Amino acid sequence: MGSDDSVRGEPLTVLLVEDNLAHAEMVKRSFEDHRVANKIYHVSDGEMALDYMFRRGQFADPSTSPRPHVVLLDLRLPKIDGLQVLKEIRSSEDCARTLVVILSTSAAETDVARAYEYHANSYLVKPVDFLRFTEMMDDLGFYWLGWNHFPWGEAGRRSES
Amino acid sequence: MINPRDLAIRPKIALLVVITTAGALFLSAAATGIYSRFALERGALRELQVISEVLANNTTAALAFSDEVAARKILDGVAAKRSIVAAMVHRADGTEFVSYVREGFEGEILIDDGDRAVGPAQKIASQYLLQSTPIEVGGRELGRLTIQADYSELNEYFLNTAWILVVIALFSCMAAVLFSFRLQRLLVQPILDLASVTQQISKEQDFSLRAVKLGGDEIGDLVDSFNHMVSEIEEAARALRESEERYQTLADASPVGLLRTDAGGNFTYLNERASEITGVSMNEMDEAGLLSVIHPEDRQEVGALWREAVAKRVTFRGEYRFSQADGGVSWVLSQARPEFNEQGELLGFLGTLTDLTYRKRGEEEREALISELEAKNAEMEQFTYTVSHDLKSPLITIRGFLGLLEKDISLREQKRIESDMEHIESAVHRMTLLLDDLLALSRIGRVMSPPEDFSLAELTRDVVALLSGRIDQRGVEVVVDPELPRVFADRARIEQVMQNLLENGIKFMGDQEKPRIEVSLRREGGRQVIAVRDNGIGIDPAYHLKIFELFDRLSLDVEGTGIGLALVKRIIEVHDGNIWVESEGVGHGTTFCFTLPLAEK
Repeated sequence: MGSDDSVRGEPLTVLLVEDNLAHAEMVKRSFEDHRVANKIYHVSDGEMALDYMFRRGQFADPSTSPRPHVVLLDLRLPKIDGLQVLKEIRSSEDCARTLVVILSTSAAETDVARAYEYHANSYLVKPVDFLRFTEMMDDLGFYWLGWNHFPWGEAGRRSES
Repeated sequence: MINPRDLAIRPKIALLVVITTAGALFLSAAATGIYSRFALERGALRELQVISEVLANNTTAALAFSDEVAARKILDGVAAKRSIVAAMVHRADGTEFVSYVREGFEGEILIDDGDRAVGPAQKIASQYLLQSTPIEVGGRELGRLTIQADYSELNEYFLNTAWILVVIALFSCMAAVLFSFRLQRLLVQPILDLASVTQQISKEQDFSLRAVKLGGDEIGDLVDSFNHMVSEIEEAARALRESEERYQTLADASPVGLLRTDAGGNFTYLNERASEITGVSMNEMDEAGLLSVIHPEDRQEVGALWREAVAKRVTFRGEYRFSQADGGVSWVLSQARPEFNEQGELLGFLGTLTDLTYRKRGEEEREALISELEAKNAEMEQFTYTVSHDLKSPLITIRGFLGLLEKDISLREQKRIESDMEHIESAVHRMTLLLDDLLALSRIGRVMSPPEDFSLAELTRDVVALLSGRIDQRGVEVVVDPELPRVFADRARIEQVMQNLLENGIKFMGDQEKPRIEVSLRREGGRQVIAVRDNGIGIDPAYHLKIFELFDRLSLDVEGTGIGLALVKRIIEVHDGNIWVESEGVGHGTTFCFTLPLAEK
């Protein structure tokens, strides 16, 4: 089930940045039956997302706000826009290498293009079909945790905890 | 000293005649005089000589025979000639033989000298003539006869003649002058006539007059030429007048402004159209300079172009504005040429003004319309984008939770089933709200009631009453300024606006312990602004524009579809008003400000 170098054994930490509570619920539910163990942290706007990433305010404690493996980022967010969040993550030395996957209702080419311009790692469109949604979430977890190698090695990972 | 050339013709001619006649007459008199003098003199001399010879002949015998008595008798015969005053016969040895002296003569006797030379008479002492003639017989001189004649009479005679001549000359002169005065009329009259006609024409500028030709001489020719010339002038003047009239008509009717300025930029000519365009009437022309009626902002540029045109001697061409006394502004295209005199000095400008105001206004309007269109387009795009996204979202929720519901039912997860259904329900509700609001939004501007005159204070109080439940629940103090103006607007829509703003105020009170909302009137910048102020949680300045955008919500905690403020903004803008928010930031309250058309008093 994946390469030997993967971080198997540790749960996949996902930061879900989603303003729609119903959608957030859906994502969380779909990660429940994953092949890969995971922990989902959910914030509902752009400002909180950045606070989490930069360990500010209520997210200052790393034990309650661990560095995520993947950030699932919606584009349309209150307070601070999704793309802006992405930009700031990418421009911070600490967080620049974080895996950011856009999860948006919009399939508009301009949005996709812009997301990649801001160096998103991947762009997913929320499918209307529920089954496909769960499939997608499953594949997502499997691919990124199962196959993908993360930019930090054992040493880096440990220093983070 | 009068220059003789400046004398009038008649005195000139008179002077001429006098001088010539007098000159001629006197010259001839003098000549005659001198000639007669000589003639007289010669005659006298000749006479004397003859007498002398005769006497000499006659006395030859007497002398030869020394007959004194006979000689004396002969000599006495000389008495017949009055001028002879003395005569004497000398013997050959020089002694006196006989002598004669006129009776009563007391003058000097000069003939004593026997040695007097023979020959022609001699004049002595301007009074006497002496004639000595030899008396000879057979070649042998016996003696000499000498006669002394007094020719002072000659002088007298000559003088008399001279005087007569002079008198004649004088009278002739006068007669000639008088005569000439009459005769000169022949010559002078036509000239004088011509001169007077010329003067009259030049004074009255009446080119219909003509000089009368009196004779066929050079004067007559002159008169002909003159008349011909006057005819030509008359013709030219008429042609010029016609041309001027034509030009004037053209200039007056011209849709293009024509103007002329002097070197200093002051108007010297404006046709009607130019007058309209510049706002300078033809009476004010003298005081107005071209620069003074040009729009202040354009003056520098126009001035620079002018100077360039003058320096390079090219046509000036430019588009600029005139600002008129009544505040009006007209755009013109002006083309003007600088005029120079022969010395190369600038005389002024001559040019045209074409009114571009319509075109410029048209352009401005077009630009405004284009940008308005572009803005509307952008708004539309944004709208479509947002709508599709925001409608898709609840749809995803519904589908998603239907799936989860199915799963939960099969697993008999009761709690989850309930929660799933709630999610579905709320999503549906959300979609409904969204669609309702969208409809309302799209209707603004299309389906509006006609505006009416109503009191904003009254309306606000009504809305407060409507929201009394929520107001009391949150414990908000609402103050409505009675000074709120009467406005002219769609009452139902404005009610929506006030409701929305007040609801927002209540919603975003946060932890405020003494919540208060104030609706008041502000006078700023010459307009009346309605302000809805709350002391709630405030809005970060970064979002002051965003909040009016469609579907942008700042916080999830509060219910709302996010369409409210967009709707409010649209309503206000459709009424040609403005709306904006003032808030220092989180914790400092919020004031929503907007303007509306006021009811006319």
